[in-house]
Amino acid sequence: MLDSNITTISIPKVLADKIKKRMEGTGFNSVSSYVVYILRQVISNIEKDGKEDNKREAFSEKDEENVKKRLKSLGYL
Amino acid sequence: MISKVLIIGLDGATFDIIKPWIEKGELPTLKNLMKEGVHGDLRSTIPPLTPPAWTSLVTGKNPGKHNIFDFFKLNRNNYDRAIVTSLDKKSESLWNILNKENIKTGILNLPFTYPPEKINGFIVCGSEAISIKSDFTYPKDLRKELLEKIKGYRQGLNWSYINREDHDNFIKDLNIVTEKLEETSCYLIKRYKPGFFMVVFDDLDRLQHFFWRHMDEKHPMYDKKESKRYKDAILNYYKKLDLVINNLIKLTDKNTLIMIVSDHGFGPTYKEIYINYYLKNLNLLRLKKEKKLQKSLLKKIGITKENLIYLSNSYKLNKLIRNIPYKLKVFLNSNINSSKLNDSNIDWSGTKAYFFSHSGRGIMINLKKRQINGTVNEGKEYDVIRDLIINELKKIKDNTTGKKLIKNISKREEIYKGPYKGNSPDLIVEMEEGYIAQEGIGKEPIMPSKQGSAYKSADHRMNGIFIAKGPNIIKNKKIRNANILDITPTLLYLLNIPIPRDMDGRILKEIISDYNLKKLKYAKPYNSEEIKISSAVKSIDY
Repeated sequence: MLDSNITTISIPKVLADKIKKRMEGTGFNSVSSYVVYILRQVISNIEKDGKEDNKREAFSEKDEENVKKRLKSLGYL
Repeated sequence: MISKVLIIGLDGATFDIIKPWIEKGELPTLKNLMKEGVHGDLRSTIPPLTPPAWTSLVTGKNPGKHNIFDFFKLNRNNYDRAIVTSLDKKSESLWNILNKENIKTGILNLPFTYPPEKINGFIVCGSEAISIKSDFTYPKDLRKELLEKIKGYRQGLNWSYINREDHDNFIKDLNIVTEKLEETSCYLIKRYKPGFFMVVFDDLDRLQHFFWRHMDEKHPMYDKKESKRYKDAILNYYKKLDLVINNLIKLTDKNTLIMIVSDHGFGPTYKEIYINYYLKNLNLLRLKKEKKLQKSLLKKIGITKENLIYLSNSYKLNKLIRNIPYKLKVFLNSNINSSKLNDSNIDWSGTKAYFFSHSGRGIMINLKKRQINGTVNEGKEYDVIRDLIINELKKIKDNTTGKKLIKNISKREEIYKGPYKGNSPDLIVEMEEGYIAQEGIGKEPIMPSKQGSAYKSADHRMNGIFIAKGPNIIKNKKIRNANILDITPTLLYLLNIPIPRDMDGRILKEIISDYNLKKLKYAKPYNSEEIKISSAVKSIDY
């Protein structure tokens, strides 16, 4: 029976062969499990970086007020 | 063969005043550069404004692709405007591309680089970093080094001199800040020897905003007595910058490509137009009931900041207001109700459109899906309202001259292309020269120029400046049709680096002595996800 939680993705044969070679002697028992491991690592890091970026703010509230004061001096507010 | 690149930005520089002064022999360095290289007007972004213009110059892309349109962006939680920073930029910049080619880059005082990003080289942010206590440099440690090595390091002007209209101290301060910026440039070039160095002298813009009237007898704010003292203030500062440029050029060799650029031009503004006044008359903008508006006693008897400014066009009253002690001015400024729009005096539930910002020159439609108290549906209603505004505003004329006021009013998709065009105001207004669109309702729809407490007498225009000199650059030639978008692709071509296909600018072939189509190489468009993937792979912690 097909597992509905699994989907098939195509990758170039040359790449699959490279992975097979790298897998030899490691704990990975299939190209799929190797590729899934890499993707999980990368995606998790992208999401972690994204969360950090979202938390990053240019100014504190007080600084933002100072920016507004400066723009007001320039006649922009 | 180009070995190094030096770009000097003069915020707001214009050939309209530079050329007559060059003819009189006042600016020898600029004159020589033009003789030994190429020069021409540099068309700015629409609107011609520091944030989108400098960002387009260093990305080669229109604001629809880099996402910087104004000093402000829409705050979706209320009708306040949020401040735009480098974190809003959605494109790679020239330095990112050069870094990939192992060229070390140094950026000093370029607007909209704060907070500074990580690069191969350094970024030193200017006055937008607000304080020298902030992390205004990359790498972080460079901050400490600069504060130690540059005695009396300065990050920008002391704004209180502008607020006080203390002209003498403003000029003194301007000269000190400029000298410190020159000293910092020399220090960084000598110490770190970047292959690409860019510095922007941004206070030229401030000086021109506030001092233009002193050299323009036609200006409504012209004052004969004051003019005697300050009419040469702008010329003297250009002369100072001419010397600074000469000193920076002394640090280069014959294989250095030198560019002098500005983000926009400048020119006098004689009258200000209140776009919201017209929107109110079109029943597109509704104010809260007068009773609620007239909270303050001063306003009840008809005194608003704008009224005072309007009245002060008479010379004696003008002088009287100028002589009000600073502290009293600050008190009046904060206590006299301004008729400028804010949350407290607009009835958003009855408003379909409003003038979003004087700097960005944009009109925002009050969309149900976007603003918190939106009233307009997307689709047909949105289209009808935008067309109505365009048709009606184009008809406006200055009754005293019979001339039209608005040069153009465009839908955002007519100006911007790219994934972020939806973050721009819905309509962009371009005024005829001499007029400026202002925020607030205004006592009259058109009033003599005297913008709020800032007393600006000039504003940005479309044509900035471009001068280039160096290996493979044609000598003594004037060029036409250069655009601010063209700088980055032209530089990449000259450095033999592939040009990303998503850049909007063109290569300025007409400035290159040995332009060869065969040398032209393209790179794939910038892909932010690819950058994230490669950075994520690098940071996987084994």
